[in-house]
This record gives sequence, structure tokens and C-alpha cells, in this order.
Amino acid sequence: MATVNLTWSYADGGNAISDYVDHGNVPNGNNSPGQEIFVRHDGESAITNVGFFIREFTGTYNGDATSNADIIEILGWGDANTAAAFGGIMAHWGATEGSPYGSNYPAYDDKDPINASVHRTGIGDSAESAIELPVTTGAVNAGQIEAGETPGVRFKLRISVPSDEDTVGVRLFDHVAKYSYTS
Amino acid sequence: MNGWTKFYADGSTYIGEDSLVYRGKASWRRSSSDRLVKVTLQHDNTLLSIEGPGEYWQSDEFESSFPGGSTLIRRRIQRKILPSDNFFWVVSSGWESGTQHHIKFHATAGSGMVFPVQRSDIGTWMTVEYDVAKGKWGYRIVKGLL
Repeated sequence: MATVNLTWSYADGGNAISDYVDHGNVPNGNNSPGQEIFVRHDGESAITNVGFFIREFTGTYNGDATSNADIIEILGWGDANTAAAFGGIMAHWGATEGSPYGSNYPAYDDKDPINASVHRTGIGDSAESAIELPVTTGAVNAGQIEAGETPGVRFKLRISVPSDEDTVGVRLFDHVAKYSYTS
Repeated sequence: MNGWTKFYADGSTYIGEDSLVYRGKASWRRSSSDRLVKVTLQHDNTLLSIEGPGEYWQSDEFESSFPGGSTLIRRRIQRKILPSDNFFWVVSSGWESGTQHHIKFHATAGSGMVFPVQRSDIGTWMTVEYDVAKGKWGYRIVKGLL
């Protein structure tokens, strides 16, 4: 089977991201700037069932703990039910909504606001629980990216560090897209 | 010859061998899916097939993370379950290049590994998959196309 390659970029039709995305240094109780990421593919037809999840980092680990400890901690941030402990990997899907990318990111008491998600246990933590690509990303249909160099599908990703986090250090994770293709 | 093959009621076939698909010489979407009676999918030494007249679909599932690129995870064929499907057989056997796993729909019961089709499954999709990384096959019934 010929592989249908997904391309991640910082601009619609732009160069492929060639290294890991660095979300910078984020103090406790703060968020990284939302990093806008575009996705496209090289298939002749649309890809479908597009969803996103995070998993244990699979590259050469050079963080401050272990890849397994990192993913457990990050998912735990998303699971937390107090303001002080809540955080994690958050996606904003509202690229085409009114004022693009509004401020409604998830919170400990509203983890699924309109057009945003936080990866947590059972939600975007595996291929089976992947968060489906919504139409507010510029997709023609939910979970679908049309063929072409500039499909205009994009979202923002940010890291939110809980205010009660007590361990300084680098955290690593894989952010993965899953998708289906029919020739 | 990795790839899929469509088998039609008139005995003809359409071959979606991977290298043909890669070169744009074959396509599931561009070829007819009318009057299909069977679809096979080969990956290395495993041949999967579903048999029975009806609506079929084929897809491959990938994962991609930056900057690692895209990886083929699993390949599948699907057939929509019809009201006339009362039973399905699951048969695994040797074939010329390895092992064949065959699911055949039928209106009447028979001997062997035969399962009744639940009425609640009508309209859903029998899905036969090959997990490329694990080298394992399996089948399941799902609500929609994958």
C-alpha cells in the first residue's frame, strides 16, 4: 500500500514541520501561546475519520523524567477536577468561528467547551478515543480533509501548566493524527 | 501482490494491487462497486475476504505525528449487512502464500464455524482488518464506514 502522507505545517500549504514543536517555557498557572498548525495530505481523494490523540513520546527521550511518566502526568493534568491541578494539552478547533479561536479553552469544570478539547483519560489518549476533526477547523465535513495543497484545515494547540505543579522540567509527548484513506 | 480485488456477479474482477494504486492506475472509488459478490485483501502472507452480494468498502488506516511521518496501521474491507443475511461463516485455511481468513454471508445455516446475524446488525458493517504492526487479523461489526 502506498502511504498517504499527512503534512503538518505552520501555514496553509507551507513547508512541513521538520522538527518537534517547542511550546516554550510555561510558568505554573500559565498557558503557552496557541500554536496554529495546518494539516494536509498527498492522497488523490479525501482522507476520512481524521482524529487526534496524544501518546507516550516515541522519539529519543531527552526530557527530565521518563516518557511514560510524562504522559501519565499530562493526562492527569487534564483529568484534574480542581482549578489548581487542572491543565494539560489543549486544542482549539474554532478557526472558522466568528472571532477565530476565541478564549473558550477548557477549564477544570468545563472540559468540553464549544470548539475546544483537553486530552485526558479516555478522551484523545489513544487512537480509539481520538478527538474527531470538527468542521470549525475549515474541514468540509467532520473528520474529513479534502485532497490538495491548501485545504485550509487548522487548529491551535497549547499547553496549560497547573498552578500547583511542583516539578520543573521538560515534558515530551507525541501528538498524533489518525485517518483513513480509500483510493 | 498486496492489495485488494473486487469480484463481480458476472465473474469479472477488478484488481487494486498496491503498485497500481500507487501509480494511479487503479482506484477503489473510480472502479465500479455495483453487483459485487466478494472482495479480498492481501497483505504479505495474509489474505482476507468477505463474500456475499452487497455493498463493500475498502480503506487503510494511518497514523502521523510530526516530524515522524505517516505509518500504515491497519487495512480493512467492509460489507454492509443485509436483511437477507441470516448467517455468516468464518473459515481460516491455508492458501498458496500463507493463510486465508474468509467470511461468507448466507441465508441458511450450515456446518462449521457459523454465527447467526443479529437483526440489530442489519445496516451495520462487517469489518475484517489486518493489523500491519502486529501481523494479526480480526473481524468486528461496526456502525459505519471506517
